[in-house]
Amino acid sequence: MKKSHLSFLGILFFSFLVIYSCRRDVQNFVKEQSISSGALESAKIWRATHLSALGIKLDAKWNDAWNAHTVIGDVLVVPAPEHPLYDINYTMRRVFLFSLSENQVTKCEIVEFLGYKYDVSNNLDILIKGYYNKNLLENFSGSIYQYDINYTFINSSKYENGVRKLNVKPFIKNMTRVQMLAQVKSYESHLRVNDAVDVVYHPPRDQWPQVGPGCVESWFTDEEYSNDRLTQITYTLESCVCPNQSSGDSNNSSSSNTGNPQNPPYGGGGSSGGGGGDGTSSIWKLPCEEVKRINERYAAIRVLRTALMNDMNSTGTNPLTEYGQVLKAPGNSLLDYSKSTTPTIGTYNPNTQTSGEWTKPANSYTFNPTDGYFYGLAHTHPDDNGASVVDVMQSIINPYFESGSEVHNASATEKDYYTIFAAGLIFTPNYTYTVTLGVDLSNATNYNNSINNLQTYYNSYNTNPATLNTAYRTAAQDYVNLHSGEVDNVNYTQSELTADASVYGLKKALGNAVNIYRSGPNDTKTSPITAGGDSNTASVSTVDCPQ
Amino acid sequence: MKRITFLIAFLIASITCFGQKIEINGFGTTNLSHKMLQMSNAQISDFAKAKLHNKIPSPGFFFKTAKVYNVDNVLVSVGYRSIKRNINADNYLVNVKKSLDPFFSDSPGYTSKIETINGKKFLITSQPMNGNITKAFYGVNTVTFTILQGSVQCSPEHEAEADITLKELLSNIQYKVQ
Repeated sequence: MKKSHLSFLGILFFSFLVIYSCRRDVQNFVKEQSISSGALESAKIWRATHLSALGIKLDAKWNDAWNAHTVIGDVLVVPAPEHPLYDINYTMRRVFLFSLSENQVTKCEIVEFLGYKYDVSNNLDILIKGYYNKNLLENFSGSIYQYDINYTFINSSKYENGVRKLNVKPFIKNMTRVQMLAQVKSYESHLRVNDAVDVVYHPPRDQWPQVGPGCVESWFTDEEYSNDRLTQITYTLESCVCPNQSSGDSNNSSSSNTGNPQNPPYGGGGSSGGGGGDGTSSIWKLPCEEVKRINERYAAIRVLRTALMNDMNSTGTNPLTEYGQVLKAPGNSLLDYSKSTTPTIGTYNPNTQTSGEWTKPANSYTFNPTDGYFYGLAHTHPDDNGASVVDVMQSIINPYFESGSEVHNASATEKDYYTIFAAGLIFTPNYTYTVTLGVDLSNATNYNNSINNLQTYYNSYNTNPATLNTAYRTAAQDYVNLHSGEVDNVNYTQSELTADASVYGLKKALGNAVNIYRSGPNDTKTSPITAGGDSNTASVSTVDCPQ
Repeated sequence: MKRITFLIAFLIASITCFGQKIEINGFGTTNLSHKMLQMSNAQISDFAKAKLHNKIPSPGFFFKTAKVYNVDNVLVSVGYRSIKRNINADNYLVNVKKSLDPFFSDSPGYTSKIETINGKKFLITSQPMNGNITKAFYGVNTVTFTILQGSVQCSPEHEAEADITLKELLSNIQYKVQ
């Protein structure tokens, strides 16, 4: 090879090397973005080295990055993927803000700017500058949410016409509808404070869109305090993200796909109550949490117990007669629980009647579902056995799945609500049992799994009821066999043995499909109870809940 | 000599297989004239496959102290448990009956009664289970404060056979006297 050819090839290689090393700056130059490749690379490295394996890896749109000059110096702004909002009065932008010092990243935050009747897209540069200089948020109405690089909530602030409202704490909460309803119920039940809290909804509750199971809704949640006391909470529906559903596929235009983990909902991702939520909804159906709700309404349950037990005891002629009352909401909606009602009541003799053939007696009672669990069946057992498989199926599980039933025909929202508040009440001479549906509200997937679990039991029972009934009876007999030698009628009575055997039998037959609570006849509150072991170790115990 | 050895072995085997005495620790003894074979878990499983529609009606009766036998077409379990010495042992059978009845009262075919057999009281229940039949029996030795708990389990077509086995088993109960 000639020397000149070699030199030519060398120059050509060197030229390509120079072009290659400058390609990002060339791209930036073409896009008229005044950012250097050094800052961009530094940001990518900083992000890669600070992302936690357990954190949410929010995608960064590096190609759309730009530089902003702020009071703290240059800031590299990198947009993140976004979701459409439900309410057109709101606009939102989600960006990474990389603080730069000599083109090297020193810090990064993810910031969400939410504008109310304020276009954050057109004013984003102003907002970013104002974010670092709080006095320059003129005319801004809305909220600013800060997160770390792992999309973990740090802080938030609320503004109205450029003035920060220190008494309002804004959050974004991502919840399924059922979690939302549980949280609303909690506030309405004065869960967090002793005084009433005003709860405001946008849109109003009767205008909430229908959503399918598993859809995660994001709610702008403004908590307003007065003298450190929560006085008002405002929920504004922001967006709805449904599983296995392409954008625009749902009943409302704001739905999008949850399939991309790099584009999670606003507010710090998809976890329940995310974005600074108090987590109340995620644990709501855990027995130690649910029992608080039951006990808040326990007075009504006691009134019902007195009425039905009086009827049962006054009859006296047939000790097997069970007295019962259907607990149902009035009106057309299961959610319409704000009125009193006089539900169906009756007696049932297991010897002569098939289940459901309740004979209406002369007496009648008024059960106020506002104060009590509002849907299900309450009835007496002359012996001290608690709820059986038949009781649970017919009281609370069948109505959810049975074609044509009021609950089955209800809307998805109402059915979700039912899974929270349905209860079967069993009154025996020595106990009151409250049995509720065991559903996991920690996230949409777990909730759907627990509904599938209930469906499995429903299918089994309605295909061959003997299977579950036998499981219940054999387990109860195992318990009696193991513990019958302890009955001394002082420290442990035969009634207590029967009662414990029924709890053990039900837990063995239905597992985590049910939560069981039990109290004495004069107790003013109930407690969760659980069972475990096998025929050699069977045990029943009251759950020791933290006070 | 070989013939004598063979005969002795045959006799021992015969005694073992026929008319075996069942020791129920603390409670007493019983015996059955029928050929019976104490079963391992694997043998119980094989028996269930062959003669119980592949389902053991009440596996809970195979508790820790229980011995399980095969008597022709019937699965027999016999076990014992201790009870507190400060309780009224005479009430034991009544308490068990009262405790079990609510669970089975709406189960077609369920019966429970306290019977006196050879001067001894037993609670005997009968219930259909998993397409088979379980007849449970309970007794109490009020001297040693020990409970007898057991079952005979069979398919419906062998219920008469199970009744004969159960009656013989309970008739031959001898309480242990300390």
